[in-house]
Amino acid sequence: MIRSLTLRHVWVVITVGAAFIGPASNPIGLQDVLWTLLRGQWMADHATLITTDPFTSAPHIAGQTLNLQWLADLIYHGLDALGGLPMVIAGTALVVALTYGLVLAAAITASGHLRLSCVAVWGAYALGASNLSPRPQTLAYPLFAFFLLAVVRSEWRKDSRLLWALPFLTVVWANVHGSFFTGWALLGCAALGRVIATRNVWSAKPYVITLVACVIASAVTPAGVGSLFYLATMSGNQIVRDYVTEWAPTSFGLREGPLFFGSVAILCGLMLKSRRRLTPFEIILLLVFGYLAWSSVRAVVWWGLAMAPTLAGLLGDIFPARTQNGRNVPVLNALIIAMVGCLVVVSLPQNKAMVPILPADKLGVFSPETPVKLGEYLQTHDPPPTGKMLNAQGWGGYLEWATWPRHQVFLDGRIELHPDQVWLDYLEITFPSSRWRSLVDQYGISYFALDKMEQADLVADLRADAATWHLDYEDDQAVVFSRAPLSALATPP
Amino acid sequence: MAYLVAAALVLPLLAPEVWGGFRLGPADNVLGTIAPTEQPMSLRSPGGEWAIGLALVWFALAYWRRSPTWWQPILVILGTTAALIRSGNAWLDAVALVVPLGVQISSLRLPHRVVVAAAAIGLLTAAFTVWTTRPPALPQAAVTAAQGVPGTVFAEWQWAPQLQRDLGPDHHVLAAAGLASETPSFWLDYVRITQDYEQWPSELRGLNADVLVLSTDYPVVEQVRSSAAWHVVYDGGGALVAQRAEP
Repeated sequence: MIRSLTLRHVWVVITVGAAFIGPASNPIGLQDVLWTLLRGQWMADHATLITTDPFTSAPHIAGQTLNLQWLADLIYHGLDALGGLPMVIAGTALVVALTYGLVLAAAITASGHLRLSCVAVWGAYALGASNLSPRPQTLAYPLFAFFLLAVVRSEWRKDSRLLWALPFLTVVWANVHGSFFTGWALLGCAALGRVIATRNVWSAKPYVITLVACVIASAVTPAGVGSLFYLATMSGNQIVRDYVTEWAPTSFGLREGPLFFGSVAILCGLMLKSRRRLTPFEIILLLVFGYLAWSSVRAVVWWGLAMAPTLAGLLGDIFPARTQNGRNVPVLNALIIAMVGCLVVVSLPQNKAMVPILPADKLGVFSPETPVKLGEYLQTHDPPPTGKMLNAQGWGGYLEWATWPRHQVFLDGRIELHPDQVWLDYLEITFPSSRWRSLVDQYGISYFALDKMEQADLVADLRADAATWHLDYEDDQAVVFSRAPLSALATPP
Repeated sequence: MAYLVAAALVLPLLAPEVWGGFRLGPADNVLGTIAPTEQPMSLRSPGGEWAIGLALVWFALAYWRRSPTWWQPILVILGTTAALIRSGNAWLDAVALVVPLGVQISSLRLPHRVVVAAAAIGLLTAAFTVWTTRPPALPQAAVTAAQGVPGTVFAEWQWAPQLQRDLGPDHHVLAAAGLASETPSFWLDYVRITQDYEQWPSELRGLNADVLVLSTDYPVVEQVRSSAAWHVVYDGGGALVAQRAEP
């Protein structure tokens, strides 16, 4: 078997292995996965879908809570039940490796060059690296990558067989994450590109049929067609657009900005240098996903995935394959592959403590910004008999995972669950504005769990008002203040 | 003719800076909350879509004709990067784009009416951008009210330069020389005060401000109206003028 190992295997293993090692060795930074786990646990315990939000105490929007991600909640809960958070991280890394493996297959199909396809996939990975943490969206990446592979095979190999699988995958996608519309966009680009290339409307029939089937399939959710309306509402949510960084338009002010604009410049440079003309499909795909990535920083990861086959094709044209001069040494290849395998195993959260060179902030399951000590404190202390907790919103996911049901956070990362005014009031309180005290009374807040850095001004105000607010807990990161016993709430909760 | 069209097409990139002055520099987080031109360019920036659109038009023509000389992409990348770093640098993008765009347009041999239409679109877009990014008007009555009150004036930043000219040397209007004339610390205070930070009265005291000339869009205005420490001398037409009531 060792004799059959070639450099081609080495390139593939390094590429897919690196895609695994990144997310596997990174601690959980984004806390969204924690309310995902909590919802999964709740559904498993109650054997029903969750249509309310028992985890946050801030006023909710009217009506039922739509949970389009229920399947992702259950998948992550399943991983958690199997092996705790380390298994959640390892499972996510596997999903990411599968994603870039599929993108690699698409890039090889489009370009015919394995090594340059690997280079293109590295580029795609760099663009998405900040967006590969455990969360429902990550589960959607391999689905998109499969869509990409299916369309690329249809375009370059005239093999449409994989298209039939897409509506079935859409059913899964629509119940995992709201990004299923990117699959529609991909098929739409392919259909339009085919019409332009052939000047024949009927030539796009396979894509149009698949697209229509996918649109219908995306309504196969507990909410039915309502999920599509929900998606439209979510994308137009003013608070999400104005205050959530990952929904902000991509710019140089965000770390993904230079990467995105750099990738556009490199792609344009290669297009000018290459003798190969892009197909109408490729041009439309780049324009659509480029615009998406420019309009929202969280879409940069999709841009990376979508452009990889085109990038590989351009690289393949500019740097044509050379005849192999070097001698193939199967034993060396096997050794490199074994080393990558070792790195994969060592990168797992269960094992990474063995790596002496790993920085301290990468060793834990949670990133250093996570308020673990605060969570431990709240786990062992009851809330005041009346009133609600007001927490640093960015910590909501962790605190509810660590302390619910003993404590109920005010807000977490699920922006769409609460009316806009609640978010504006939260911002006023934590700013803090002249109205913060009356707002605290209005919402019946009896204790605070705050970030000393992010909410430094509010913390200073609370410290200065010792007659009303008592400091219950403090560490290097967080503080807990509760209403002093003699200071009653102006308005009962 | 092609270069005239190119010049007309890049005019909208100059428009947002007409009111604030043409300046080259990096983006600033605090100033960015006050003036969109101080932010890195994005889809939401004034002229953002136009700037990227023009770069794309150049690229599309160059890709189609396969004729770019080496300096064209360099100019386009330099100009676009400057604008992406800070939206207010878009004027440099305009300067850098004129010639590469002109070269590409000249190779098209466009009919006369298309040339005229393209130039008209550029001019109209520039006029529209200048109009939509103009600062809010300060009512003359507010200026008159402020004239009667001596002391240091804390004013809406877009009004400050003109207000200083109107009030004369007897008054000191903060930030009268534009965004670059004050320290980052001043602008942080400015944002906190106008956004109704709880400690706004002490922050105004720290700036020795005796007179306020504020846009009524600012959240702090409601507090000023009801504050015993400030006496409102004018309130109308989108402006509020208040004088410190206590020493």
